[in-house]
Amino acid sequence: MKKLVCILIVLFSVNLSMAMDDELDIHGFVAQGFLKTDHNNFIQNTEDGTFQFNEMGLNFNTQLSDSLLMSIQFFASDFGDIGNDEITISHANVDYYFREWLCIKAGINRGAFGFYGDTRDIDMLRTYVFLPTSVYPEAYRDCINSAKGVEIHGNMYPSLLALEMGDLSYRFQYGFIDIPKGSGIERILAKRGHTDTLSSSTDTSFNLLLTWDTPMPGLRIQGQYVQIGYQLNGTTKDDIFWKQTKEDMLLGIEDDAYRSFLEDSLVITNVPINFSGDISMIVYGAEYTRKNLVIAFEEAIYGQAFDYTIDARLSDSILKKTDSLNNKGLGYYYAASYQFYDWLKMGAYYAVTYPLKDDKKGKDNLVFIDRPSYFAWQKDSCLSLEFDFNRHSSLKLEAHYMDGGTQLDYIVNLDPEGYFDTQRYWYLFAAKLSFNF
Amino acid sequence: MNSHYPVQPKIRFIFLSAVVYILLSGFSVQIKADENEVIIIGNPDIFESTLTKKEIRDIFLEKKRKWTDGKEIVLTVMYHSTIHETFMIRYINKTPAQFLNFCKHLVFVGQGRFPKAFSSEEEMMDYIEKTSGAIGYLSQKPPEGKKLKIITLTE
Repeated sequence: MKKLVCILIVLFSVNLSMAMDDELDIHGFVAQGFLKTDHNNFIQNTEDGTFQFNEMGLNFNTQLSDSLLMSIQFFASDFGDIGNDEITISHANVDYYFREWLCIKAGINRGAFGFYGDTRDIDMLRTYVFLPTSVYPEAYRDCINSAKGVEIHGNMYPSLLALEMGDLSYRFQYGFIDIPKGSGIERILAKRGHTDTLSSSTDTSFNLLLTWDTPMPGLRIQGQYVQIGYQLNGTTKDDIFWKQTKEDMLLGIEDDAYRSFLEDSLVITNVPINFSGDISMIVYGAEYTRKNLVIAFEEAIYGQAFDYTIDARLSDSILKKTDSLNNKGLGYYYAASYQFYDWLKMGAYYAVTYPLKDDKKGKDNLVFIDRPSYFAWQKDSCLSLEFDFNRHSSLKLEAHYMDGGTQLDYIVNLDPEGYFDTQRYWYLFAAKLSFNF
Repeated sequence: MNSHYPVQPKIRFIFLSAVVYILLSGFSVQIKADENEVIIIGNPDIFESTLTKKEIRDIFLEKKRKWTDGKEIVLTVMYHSTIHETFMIRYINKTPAQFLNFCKHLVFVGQGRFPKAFSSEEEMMDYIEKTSGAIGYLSQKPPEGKKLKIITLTE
């Protein structure tokens, strides 16, 4: 029903935009996809094939004055059990152009992320059905899509000893990211901390993106730092991770009687736990464009720096134990695309993800204790074809050959037995039809 | 457990070969011999009489959104024309498809608007003549009697 309402809004707006004069621009898009895996449910039911994969948006832009641009976009998407076609405001802001080197935006701003992050909701703007998930993980989508607050951005033209050094553009965003309950990032932290989530909340965040269009035509280099304050409350799972943690806690106790007492009386499973800290992302890369050819490389380091407190039970009393959780994940990709004809473009990439950059084999860390070692990585070889029927419609066909299960862990709610039902090597096929006006 | 491990290095080899092939194809593309003239035109009230190639690029990529006197810059284009392709490749360093995608990007992330699009040079000239701050391009000098400013390009 929601999809039907959105489609009707889009069709109505097409007629409305034709009737109005050119002071208000109305544009929109609809994309419907299909996913199929040979093994492993990437999102729900992909082994059987699923159409739970779509996006739609309606965009309003108007120039309020010579210096003020206002833009609002409504958006809905479905990706398994993420999104579920709930209509959200993907951006709603006013952009004040003071000078080329200083513009100020306020409202709900699109999150700037990497070269292509702000296009991930808009299928027609990219070559691939899926952006390389090593740098653009689907699970992080709802925490880097948009933020309420302010943004300052602009372009500068540095020179060195009378030599022009290209263009330097910057975007600095400061504000609050409304991460919904059940979001991908909540799921990642809960899985990492072996926790059943009760509630979560975000704190202020900031995001700095610098892009250098170098003096070499077509070459641009980018660097970015994002930090998001985050808290999560839940209960510790009754699983081998916490049982092992308890054993590690008792190892240092030399008094046999006391250790025996604690073994019997100390409970750290199914007890309250609170995480408080920051999620950080460092992204850098380079892109080279020459006529119809585009080559890109990006690398991202994802950090989770949290202090956590467990309310362990000891007989009838509560024993608070505090520790820290510090993880760094690593992802990178190499990509190339070429526009052979106006109607045909081909792209390929090789993307690698390590949820823990210091444990790329999944052997040593307590995190992977209850799952196959191949959840410590994911290597994705992708080939994509885009057919542009005209300016307003396109079809993409894409194939992925996967080695590893990291993204499964991010997106699918696997129960302990479910991990061992997965397979290390698997294929993902995707098709997506897009329309825009 | 499936045993696809021996396939992984082959996939990498195929991928790298494809990338090398694409790279070689890209660099072997012959640059079209392009002798089309491009005349940059604007509304007579535009303050600037000369623009550098870099300024033209910044204007059409919406990095520069106002003229020196503070008036809004209004962009015009002619999709599906030879002059559009020439102008895009020569001054904006993008193919027409890349430029269209760039415009869509600006619109759908709330950073800009689509340029006004026309299907003929006459329509573009009529619009620029009556619209303050408008700029566009033609394949030849505008006819006498048209109140348009020809903008000189400097390096």
